[in-house]
Amino acid sequence: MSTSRRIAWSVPVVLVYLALAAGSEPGSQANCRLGAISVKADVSFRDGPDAGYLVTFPITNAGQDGLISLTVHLSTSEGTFTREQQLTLAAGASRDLSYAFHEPTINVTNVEARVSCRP
Amino acid sequence: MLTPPSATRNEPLRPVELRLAMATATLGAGAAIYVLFRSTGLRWGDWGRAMGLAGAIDVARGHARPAAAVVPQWFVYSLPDGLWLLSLLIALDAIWSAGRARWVVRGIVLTAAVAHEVAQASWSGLGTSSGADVACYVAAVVAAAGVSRFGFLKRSRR
Repeated sequence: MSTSRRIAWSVPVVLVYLALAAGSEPGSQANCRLGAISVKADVSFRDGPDAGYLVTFPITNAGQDGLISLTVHLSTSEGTFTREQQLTLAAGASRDLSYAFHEPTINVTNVEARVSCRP
Repeated sequence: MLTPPSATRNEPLRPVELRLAMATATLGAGAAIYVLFRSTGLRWGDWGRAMGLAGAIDVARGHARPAAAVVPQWFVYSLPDGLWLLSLLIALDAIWSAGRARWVVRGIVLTAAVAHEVAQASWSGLGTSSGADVACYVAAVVAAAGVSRFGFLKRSRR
């Protein structure tokens, strides 16, 4: 193998290890805090009126500026539906978020919402 | 002309392939320790979530929770660095398999590892330096030398 080929092989190998080193450093220094979660029946418009549910809640970043990952689950008699989102929030910033779930039918029962956020 | 025995019997794993497989395995082992036991507040956790792997990571960490209570600190905080250094040394040894260049590459890697540890000891912002880290680095160098010798013996038999 020629020296140039050896170098060409070495570069991606070294990059993998630099990525590992970078991945072991502290990540987002945000600190998410969730407020009261509300679930209410809602009609959204997607090819006409479509009954569903709207999950709303406030979120605050009590840490430093950074990326916050959100997962919203709507558990129902017809299954569990999930929304995921990445948000960048400034230190101390708050936002009211809402997520529409149009998957449940009008016959759905036992509707419950769960929200988790990191970090 | 005499044919080496290994060429007439079952073909053994070629040294380069064997070493790359070992490099991948040790890299994966170090990564697995991070995923199972280290804080998801580190940057890799952000990457995992961005790739939509948060659920899978949670499930894996849930299975590892009983072990997390008993594994020693050095296993969680030092062994991954040692495994990754070992992996890097094996991989680069496989690429730079002969000559003086191999020693230059080894020297660069080891200098970088030592410099990283010294920097951590000097500046707190770069992480935490520990004796266990150094011990794992030394073990990695010894293991890499062993792997290198094993590869040499395999080659010389063919």
